[in-house]
Amino acid sequence: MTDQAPKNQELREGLEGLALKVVMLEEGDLPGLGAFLTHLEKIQEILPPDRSPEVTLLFQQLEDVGNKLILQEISPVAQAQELLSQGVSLLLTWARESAFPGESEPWKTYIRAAQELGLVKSEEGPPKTESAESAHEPEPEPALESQIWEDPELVANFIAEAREHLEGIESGLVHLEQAPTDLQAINAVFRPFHTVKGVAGFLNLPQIQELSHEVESLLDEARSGRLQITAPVIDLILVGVDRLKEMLDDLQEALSDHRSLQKFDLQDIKDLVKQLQQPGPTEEAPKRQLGEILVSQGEITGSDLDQALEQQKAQEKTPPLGEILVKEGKVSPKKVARALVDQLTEEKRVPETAAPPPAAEGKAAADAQMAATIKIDLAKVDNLVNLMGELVIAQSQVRQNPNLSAISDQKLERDLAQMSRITSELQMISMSMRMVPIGQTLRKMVRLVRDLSRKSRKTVELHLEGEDTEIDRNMVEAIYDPLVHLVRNAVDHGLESPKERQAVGKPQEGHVWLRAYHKGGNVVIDIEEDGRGLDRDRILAKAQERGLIQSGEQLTPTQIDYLIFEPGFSTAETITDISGRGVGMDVVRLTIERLQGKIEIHTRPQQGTRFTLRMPLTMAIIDGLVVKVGKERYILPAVAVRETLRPAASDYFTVQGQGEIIKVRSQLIPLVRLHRLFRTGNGDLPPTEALVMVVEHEGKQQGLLVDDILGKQEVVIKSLGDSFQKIKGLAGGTILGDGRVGLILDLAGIFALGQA
Amino acid sequence: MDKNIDFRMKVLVADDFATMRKIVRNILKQIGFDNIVEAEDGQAAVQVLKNENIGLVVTDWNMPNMSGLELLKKIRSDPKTAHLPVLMVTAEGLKENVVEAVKAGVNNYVVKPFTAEILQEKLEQIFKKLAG
Repeated sequence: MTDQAPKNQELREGLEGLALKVVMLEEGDLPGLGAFLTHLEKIQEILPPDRSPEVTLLFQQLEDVGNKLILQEISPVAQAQELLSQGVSLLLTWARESAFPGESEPWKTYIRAAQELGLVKSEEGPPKTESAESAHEPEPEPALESQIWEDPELVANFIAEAREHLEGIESGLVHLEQAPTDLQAINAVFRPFHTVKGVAGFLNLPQIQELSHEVESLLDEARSGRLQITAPVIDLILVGVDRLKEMLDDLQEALSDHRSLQKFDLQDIKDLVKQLQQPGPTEEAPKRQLGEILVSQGEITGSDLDQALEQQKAQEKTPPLGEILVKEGKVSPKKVARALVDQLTEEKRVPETAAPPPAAEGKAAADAQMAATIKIDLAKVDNLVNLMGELVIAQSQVRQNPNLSAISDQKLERDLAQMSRITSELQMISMSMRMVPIGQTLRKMVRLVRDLSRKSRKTVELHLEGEDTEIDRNMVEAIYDPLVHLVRNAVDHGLESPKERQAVGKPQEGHVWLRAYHKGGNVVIDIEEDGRGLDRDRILAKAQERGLIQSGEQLTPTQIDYLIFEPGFSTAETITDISGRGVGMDVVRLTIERLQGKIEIHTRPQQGTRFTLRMPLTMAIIDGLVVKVGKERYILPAVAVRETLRPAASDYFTVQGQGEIIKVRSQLIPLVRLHRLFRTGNGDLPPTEALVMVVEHEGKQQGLLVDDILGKQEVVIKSLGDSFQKIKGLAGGTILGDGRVGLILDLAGIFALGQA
Repeated sequence: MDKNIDFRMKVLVADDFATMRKIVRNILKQIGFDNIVEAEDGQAAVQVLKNENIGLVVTDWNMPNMSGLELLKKIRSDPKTAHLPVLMVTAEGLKENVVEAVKAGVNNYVVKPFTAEILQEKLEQIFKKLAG
């Protein structure tokens, strides 16, 4: 007894503190309740193990009432707080007297109050629990209908943001498929649905809310470990994502056309969710009633119970069953309390086993993170970039003004230099405003690869690299279709079936790599697979069959590879469901070229194929070499220029029927005289006195004969307008530093012209 | 209007979803607040708290990088911000979270979707208690 004393002292002090917290409690005082609960938890740690069951019951009920008060699941609140105070004072008496006042009046009052609040079920007792249960039901939807049309901008923001997050889900899912128990991965997929649901509630979009709720509830099961992430679950989530996207599309149309929303049928998804939510331990086992427990413990007999129940019914105020049994002398109050504890712990046990582990928050979700941003209309940025280009030109016009250059004033020169520094910096900043990370586009391929691999029954692992690589916003959409096509081809044609792979000693699982990076002022995207490689014999045969080449024509392996970009070429033997329709490789090439970019192929038999897309960082500006041809100035994309040389007379040949050729390091390259191509008059210099720019396009080289190189500069590409759009050999125009117009050469066109 | 609320104070809204931040901002404006800053997760919120004089934090529960609960714990553990009123925005169906947040010292919580009236009521409760 003596060594128990200090502990008792601690317990008493703890309980006194608890009593103080209860007294201070005001209605709706959440911090107070929080402090009460944490204090309660601390005291429970120092409880003597030999305490009576009533004490255990009291502690559990105090915690229960505290939780319910926080969640507003108990009413009336004043009565519940009064119960807390009664309970704590009982505990204080117990601690002071070292015995629980089980027979006392306060204890009986407490039990009765607890029953009235629905904490202890009394047989046939008044259904006081109703108020608590009604709190479980979803709150009536606040009337916010007007908001959707009141603030269309907000809805538009929501649509854009929701789409962004849905894309995050798709890539998250692939990760989840590989690590189905990774809580962070589950949470990263869960969060967007959760958030979309929350916002949809505000914007009064009940269908979106309902759908995201369905998927969210399924994922919540997974979060709490009650549901395993399996392929059907992921499929369902993807169906949910698709349906949600349709709804967002509909919402966007409805918003712009001022029409009402379409009705979507969600029954299929709901059924699937129900099917997947196995009736596991989630369903609460029905609570056993007090009488039942007492009978099962042999404390009372069945007939005792029946009698007591009769009596309970007969009385007006329906006293608790325990009270009747005690009064009748059938059972001691202590036994009733123990049975009540049993009843309570039974219901406690259920949520305990199903208690969800703390939701994981962490770095896995970091990829979904957004930087602090403002949204600007893209047209405004385009305008700004364009004007910046003009400013740079205007600025250099001023600098090159002959009257101005005649002034020799140091201050003027300094000021001009300062101005040009600022303008070029401004230009860079304005252009960077239009740059976005390519990750979102790459991640769209994740879903594509997954669907493709399913359809073609191939196991494919997709590797994304360089998601942070930035690219001009205007380019993002333009490269999407080519990327889709190349990825489709990679999975569909490039990779072999698992059987074939096994037969040649490769692992069954195929790999596709998508890499984005910056190199030499270009954005480069690699699409690579470790499949069978291009079949050059078949390409040759096909090309001959289609009349793309003459039989007997000698082609280098690289030239053969590039045949697949010819219009009307398709390597697929049969047109499958997956690819071989719509865009062909020729369109892919055209699209990339329209972006001032180029496409390269590297392939090795049995080792795979890599397509490399090289595009300037931005479509608005190219790094150009300004060349002089007669009186005209032309701009060559610097990226295409391999070298510049003045051929020796011994390296220059004229070949009958094939035109002029120069020899560059034992390689024969056709020569094109730009003078003649563009008919710029007769100032043609002989090749040995002029300059040859060796340019490369699709693995082929040509020498372009020019008079002189005037310099290298960044030029702002201007469209030539519709009437000049289709002129072969010209990609656009620009205004040069001296105010003159320079034409930008289109190599694809020049090569085509040169061959004709 | 409640006398206990000083509408000139700076309110920090933390949520990873920009649309949600805007909604909360709109509602706060409706109530009378005009000085509102935003953060897109707990970490960003901590940064804002360091640099600005914030009078009230309205935070979402579920955010990447640093959740609302972690943010709350961080606020309470720093003596400079320990007494800062924090309102948690949560979704129905996540009740265990609410109890956890209350134990960690949240001043009040509000369930999505909520109206300006509900938010105002909760804020009045918070500031009345702080003033009392």
